[in-house]
Amino acid sequence: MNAGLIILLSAAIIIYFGFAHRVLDRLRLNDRAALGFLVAMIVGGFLPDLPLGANVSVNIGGGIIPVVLVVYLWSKVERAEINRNGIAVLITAAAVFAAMKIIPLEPTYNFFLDPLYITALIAGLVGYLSGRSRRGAFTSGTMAVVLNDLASGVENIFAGVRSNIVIGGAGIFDAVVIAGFLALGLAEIVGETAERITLETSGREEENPDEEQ
Amino acid sequence: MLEKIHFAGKYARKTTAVLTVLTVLLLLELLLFCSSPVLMARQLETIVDDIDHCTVEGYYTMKDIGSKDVILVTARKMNAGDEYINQENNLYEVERIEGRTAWARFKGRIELSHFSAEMVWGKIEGDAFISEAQADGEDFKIGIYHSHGAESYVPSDGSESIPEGGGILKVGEVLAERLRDNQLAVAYSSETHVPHDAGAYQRSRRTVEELLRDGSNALFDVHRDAVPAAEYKETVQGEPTVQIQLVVGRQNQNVQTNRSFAESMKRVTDDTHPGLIKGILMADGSYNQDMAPLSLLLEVGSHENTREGAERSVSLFAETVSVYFRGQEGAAALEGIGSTALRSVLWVVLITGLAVGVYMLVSTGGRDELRSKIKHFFTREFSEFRGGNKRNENEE
Repeated sequence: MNAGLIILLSAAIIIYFGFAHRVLDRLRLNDRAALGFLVAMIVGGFLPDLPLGANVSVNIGGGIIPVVLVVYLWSKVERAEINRNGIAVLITAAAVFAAMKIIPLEPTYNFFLDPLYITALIAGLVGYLSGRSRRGAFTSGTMAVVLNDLASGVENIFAGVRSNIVIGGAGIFDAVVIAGFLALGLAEIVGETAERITLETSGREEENPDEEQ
Repeated sequence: MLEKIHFAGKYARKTTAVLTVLTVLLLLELLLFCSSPVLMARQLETIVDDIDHCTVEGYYTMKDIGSKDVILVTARKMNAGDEYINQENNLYEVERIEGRTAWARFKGRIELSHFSAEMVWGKIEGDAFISEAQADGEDFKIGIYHSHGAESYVPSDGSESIPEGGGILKVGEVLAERLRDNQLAVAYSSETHVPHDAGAYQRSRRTVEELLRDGSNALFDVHRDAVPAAEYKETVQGEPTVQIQLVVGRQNQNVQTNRSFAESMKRVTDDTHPGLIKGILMADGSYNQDMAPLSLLLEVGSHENTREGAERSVSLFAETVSVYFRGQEGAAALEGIGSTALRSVLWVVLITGLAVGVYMLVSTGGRDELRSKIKHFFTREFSEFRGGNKRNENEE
């Protein structure tokens, strides 16, 4: 392959994997665990898909590992947070389902984002607002896409259409993983910005208490 | 200060509560929507009719800002910054949108890229890019799939959209067969990726990954447009022919190489079957072209053209693809592709650096904290791999 293209593909993959590792690092995972999940997603993507029946199958790297990660994260938090996360997942899944039906199917009709990233945007916002939690954003993004894939399978059954659904079929490049990563990245940016603004404002007001009155 | 933070937290909780109520209402509506299969099927049909680009009232017309001539009619929405190379290799760039008219400025007649497959996949053996072993299907492969497998041709299929599998699948099959006739290995996916909604490209992304895993080196996503039939009719070598439009997604890091691939495909086709390629549209979206550098979306005619006409067109196109990949076009200039890809690398790195920089500035708010965070990153973040113990920030 041409050297320029090798560099281009390598740069894109390194940046993506670097971003992915940083994201996983924000999920109460230590460096080794983050790297372990990342490698599992990459390797799992090359393994054969597992059939679930009714023309639905799941990819190990893009479907099973992200769900395992979500379950692992839930196992590390309190019951209240799991409940909050669960509600956020359902809200995000419903919002994404509605968005996929409402927004036009051609990316050119979307005024600013490819549909692939709209899921992440919704998940990032809902996940963060549901508890100002980065983990909430990640689980919302990941599980919303998984639930929507299952919904598509159900929709096809109702419509009497035979079509294969492969959850996470594109491995680490699948919408399941991308939505989770971007949602967390978004929550991180929104969170950091909001916290910074809050702290700055509070700090200024503390310095000049009279101005408030 | 704590009070302020508490106040901000309360405000966020209120917002969350409002959002939750709204979403619960939405969920209830969806529940009602899904509770009746008949109702669901009927509503789905209506929704699909409304959003499917084949039934959108009207379509976009690209006009020359100077001469006011019509350059292109397309069902794809045009946006400022979109570019179009027409049949005569004139390049236009959209400057502004007024209703459904895209006003574009003529940028000049361009020399199409001399970008051969060998530049991507290596030096040719003898006078052909694909060796005999590769031609037997051992190495080189072309992947064909349909992100919108329900698309159909009304005169031949009776409907513009058939969820069980549209006429476009037959067009794809013909393309695959003709390529095999031309000694090219082909991986063809007849997956429809229904339901026909905005998630179709997410689902076809999995097919792309499967085709790449299967060893495909170049990918064609075969579609049809949704404009009047006349827009895609042309006389090619004395025969009335349905034209093919190439679409390149502007929102992907491979855009430059994909564009060069499209240009060179048009250049070869202009020699073998002049007029077959209508033009190259560089539009918003990625169309999963971020997954592979040799990746194109083909619009084979429109829903008002006949499927038989589309099948004949892809047969002609298969000859071009064969000429292109078998290197019969001669030794193409090697310069160009390397610098094109390197330019893309620079953009990718620049944008990433900018994004990281902005984030760091926002999250630190000052030079001292920024310096401390960078120091922390290099000294403590990877300490575990060096045998140390990193304290997990979230558990602190």
